[in-house]
Amino acid sequence: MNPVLLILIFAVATGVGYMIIRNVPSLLHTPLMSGMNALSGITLLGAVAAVGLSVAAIRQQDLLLGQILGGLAIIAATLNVVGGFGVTHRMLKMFDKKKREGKES
Amino acid sequence: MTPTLYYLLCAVLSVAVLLGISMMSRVKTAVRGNLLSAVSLFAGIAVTLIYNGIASVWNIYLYMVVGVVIGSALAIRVKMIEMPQMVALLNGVGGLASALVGILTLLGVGHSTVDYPLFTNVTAILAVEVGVITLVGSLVAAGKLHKLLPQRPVIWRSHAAVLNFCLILLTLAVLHAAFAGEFLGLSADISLILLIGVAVSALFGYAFSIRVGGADMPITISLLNSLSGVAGAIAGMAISDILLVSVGGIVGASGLFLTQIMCRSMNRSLIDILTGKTSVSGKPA
Repeated sequence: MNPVLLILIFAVATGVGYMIIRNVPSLLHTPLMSGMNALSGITLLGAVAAVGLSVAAIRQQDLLLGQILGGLAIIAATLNVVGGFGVTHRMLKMFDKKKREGKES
Repeated sequence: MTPTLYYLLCAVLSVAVLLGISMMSRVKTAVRGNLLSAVSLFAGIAVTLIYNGIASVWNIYLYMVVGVVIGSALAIRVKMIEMPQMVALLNGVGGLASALVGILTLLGVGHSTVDYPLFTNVTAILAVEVGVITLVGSLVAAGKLHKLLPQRPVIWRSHAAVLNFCLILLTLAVLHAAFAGEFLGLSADISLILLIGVAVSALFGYAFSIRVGGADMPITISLLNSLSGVAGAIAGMAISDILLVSVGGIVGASGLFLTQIMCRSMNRSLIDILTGKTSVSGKPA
């Protein structure tokens, strides 16, 4: 794909990402950070593509390297995604409980 | 899957991620926003698998299962009080993944064709550098919060000089990757570039993070989180994956903005935090 197009997409995404967040209540700072951390595990897509395409590699050495490094990358990125969303969900659930308890009492 | 459909799906998923983030900034919709982000990310994986025609490679699922098992075990076991260091640790792991993708691309493993070798090399080494800085910086942050490292800001005598020197070396590595090959008659020594990139980035990440006090760590983690989004986006540029570029860009920018909001609500300036000035005592260690 054309590099100019890729940089353009990056620029647009950056601009939109900067505008999407308005006043965030300080209660939500940590969960939002954690949620975005999980999203940054999107690099998983790159790792998956690298491992998948390295299977078609001609040289034996490339295949091995792709499997070891790429496999490590997939494990790391999945860890980030699953752990990140799980942790965020737990944090948000905690707020829910607090609010309900507050209402009941 | 035709390219047009692929681009369309990427656009839809990017918008879904944006929506998820904006929903997460309100208490009422936060849980649903988190779920929406998670679902769109997993849809992104499915789209990538089908578009590249690699859905039948069974190793991918094996690696993913290992990651899921470790990740969910960590997410369930962690105590609420240990959450900040957990987020830092996960963030560092994400940086590692970006760096590995960059290394693979630089070595020429795991992508079909390279149309723009110059652009690919430069973005790949950048992904490695930013990824390693995120990894080491986050690990130091997690160590500080977990009281494995001193909580006080550690300031070396020539701290700024070390950081500047690292930056110069990192820039040189990128330039070498750019100008090697056909230009100037230099041969591209990929392993040398990689060695410098990884080692110097690790030093930079360590020096950068060790200077921050324990109480200011959440803001640093937020900054590193933004950095890991950027690392993902750059890795995406290296392998021409538009979904990776757009979501990485979104995370990078909104992470930076969140960092600013956090600084403002704690009434601290980002520069003070990064140079290790604490409000309690400015004594250099």
